[in-house]
Amino acid sequence: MHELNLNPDRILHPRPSPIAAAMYTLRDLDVDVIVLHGPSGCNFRAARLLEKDGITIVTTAMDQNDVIFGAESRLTQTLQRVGALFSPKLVGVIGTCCASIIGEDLERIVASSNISYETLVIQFDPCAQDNVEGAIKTLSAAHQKGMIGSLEYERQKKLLISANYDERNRGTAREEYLGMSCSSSIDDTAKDIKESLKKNKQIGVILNSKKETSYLYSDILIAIWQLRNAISSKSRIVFIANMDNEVGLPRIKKYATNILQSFKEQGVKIDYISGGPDEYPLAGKMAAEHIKNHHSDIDLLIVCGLPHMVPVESLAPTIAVATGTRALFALKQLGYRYVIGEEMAHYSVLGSGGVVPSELGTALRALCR
Amino acid sequence: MNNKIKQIALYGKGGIGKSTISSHLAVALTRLGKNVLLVGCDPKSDSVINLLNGIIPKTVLDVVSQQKCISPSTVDDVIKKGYGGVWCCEAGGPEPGVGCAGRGIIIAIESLQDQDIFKKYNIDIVIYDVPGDVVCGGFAMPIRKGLAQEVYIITSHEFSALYAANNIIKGIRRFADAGGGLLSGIISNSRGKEGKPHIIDNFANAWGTKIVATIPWDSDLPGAELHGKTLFQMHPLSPTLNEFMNLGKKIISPTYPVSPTPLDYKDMYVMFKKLVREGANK
Ligand SMILES: Nc1ncnc2c1ncn2[C@@H]1O[C@H](COP(=O)(O)OP(=O)(O)OP(=O)(O)O)[C@@H](O)[C@H]1O
Ligand SMILES: [Mg+2]
Repeated sequence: MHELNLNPDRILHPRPSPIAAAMYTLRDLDVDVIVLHGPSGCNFRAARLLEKDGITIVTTAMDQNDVIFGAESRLTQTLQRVGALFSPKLVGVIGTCCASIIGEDLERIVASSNISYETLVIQFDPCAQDNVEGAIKTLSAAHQKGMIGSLEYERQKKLLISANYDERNRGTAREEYLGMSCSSSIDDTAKDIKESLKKNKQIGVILNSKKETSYLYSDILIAIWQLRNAISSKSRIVFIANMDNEVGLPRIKKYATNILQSFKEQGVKIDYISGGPDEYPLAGKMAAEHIKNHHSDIDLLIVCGLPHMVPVESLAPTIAVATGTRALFALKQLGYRYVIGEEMAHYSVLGSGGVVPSELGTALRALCR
Repeated sequence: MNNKIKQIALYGKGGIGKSTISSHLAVALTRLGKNVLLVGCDPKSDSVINLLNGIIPKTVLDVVSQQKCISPSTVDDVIKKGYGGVWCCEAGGPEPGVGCAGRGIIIAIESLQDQDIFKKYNIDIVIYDVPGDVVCGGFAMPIRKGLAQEVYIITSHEFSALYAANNIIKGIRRFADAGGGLLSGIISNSRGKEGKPHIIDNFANAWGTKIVATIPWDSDLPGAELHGKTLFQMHPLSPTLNEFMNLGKKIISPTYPVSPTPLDYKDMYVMFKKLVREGANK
């Protein structure tokens, strides 16, 4: 009998799995269809979200017989049906927990399935504690297929490892149990920002967001600029954004290009580009350094996206804008004055193709009159 | 569970003679007036073959895979009357190299439990023939939750067989406190004319149990097997059959199941070397 171990050494709270991470990475690689080789319902939340982004996601609906006798023909049939139904060019095939436990040889099955489209086969340990494992395995498969070069692969891998480090130390992959936490009042926070603008305070606004969620968080930068102008504030606003549109996969570059265009249209001038939309773990540190070195007298810092990756909470009064009840909990622990939850950050951006309204942005605009 | 029914499991290293001994023991027990069910828990389904003239019956998983479960009407398909009146059943399982045989055994045994087959066939004794070491949870199924109350381990005097036996003992020990099956004894089955009973005997003592039978090496056994038969059928006068009858008698008399003590590898090794040396000096 094992003694009950109450020492925190495993994450208890819900987190995305390596399978979900692999699915998102396949989306970044612009696959048309993702086949999850596993039971029906596996990862359905992530699957439905990604469907909004135009990816078709299916499972092989493995059943008890497949687990006992092997599910080779189930996968073959699914791959053929996918070909007939969706005429895809590129399909990602992921082995889920079930498939990996019974040792399904995905590479071999896919190779002998007689299909006419390209595939990316992702096999890994779904019980890996770090979900970046799924993302790295996916990139590695793409690299082996020559879809991404060595430099790009190494760059992304380094970023993922770095992001994982931050998640484990300051984010939601901490081993202690993270409870759920509610957002601070969005209206009060918006009023607080307006007060600072009225008093012509120096404000830093840092966008440090992950990939497509940038479409939502960038709205906050625009809204703050609109409010400043609407109330004729003389505030100096330092805008920092990880919107370098020259790094990353085509899809990622497009996010940055579209957002920069919106900034331009709205008159938002970015003082410092801290990196690309997939460089949030490093860009966060660059942003913090930039504030420390050039704007140490700043009165208020607003950090949008992944604030736990931007170590600025000790530099000035801070407002964090993030998503997820657990992320908010973690940010409150870090000492942010206000912690705002953007509940739709993962949802409303999918399939959008441009900046979408944020809750804080909407509240700020309401104060423009 | 019906207390009148005795359920035993035979474990041992691959190829040690589990299926041979199970099928002969099953016939012996019927000769002693018992109604016996032999359940093969090996995906290769060769436990009852020598009671059915070399024919592999339809397996539990064959039926479950087609019909989701065993029903009162399909149970007769998977329980066949074999030589001597032994009821024969194979769990079945995947082809080599695919799927999960362990999961298969769990499902097969649960499916059998769901049907009141023991009552239906009036079974007195169930023998489970279980492959290899206790390699995963599935192969431990017959001893978990005390399904089989008693385990017999078959071993030779060879180190690899004793080592496998020790692993099985670890498996038994794991479930023993939670009502799992206990160890009722060791069956010695050594290849070649000269076994080294003192080695097995010493190990049995160290584990906290005893040898309950010593099966002689009998060159007629593989021959009978070629005909899909047991010695009972092929060589009814073979003296080897006495050993199976004695084993059967022991099993239906009061037995002494214990929660055994596994040895650690180093101790096993030292003990084995010492016993081999002693044997050579004699
Ligand atoms: N006492 C014996 N004398 C002669 N041959 C024997 C004896 N015991 C077993 N054998 C032979 O050894 C071979 C293996 O035996 P058996 O199939 O019963 O082993 P097993 O433990 O069931 O193997 P597996 O682990 O593969 O299921 C068979 O050919 C059998 O006839
Ligand atoms: Mg066998």
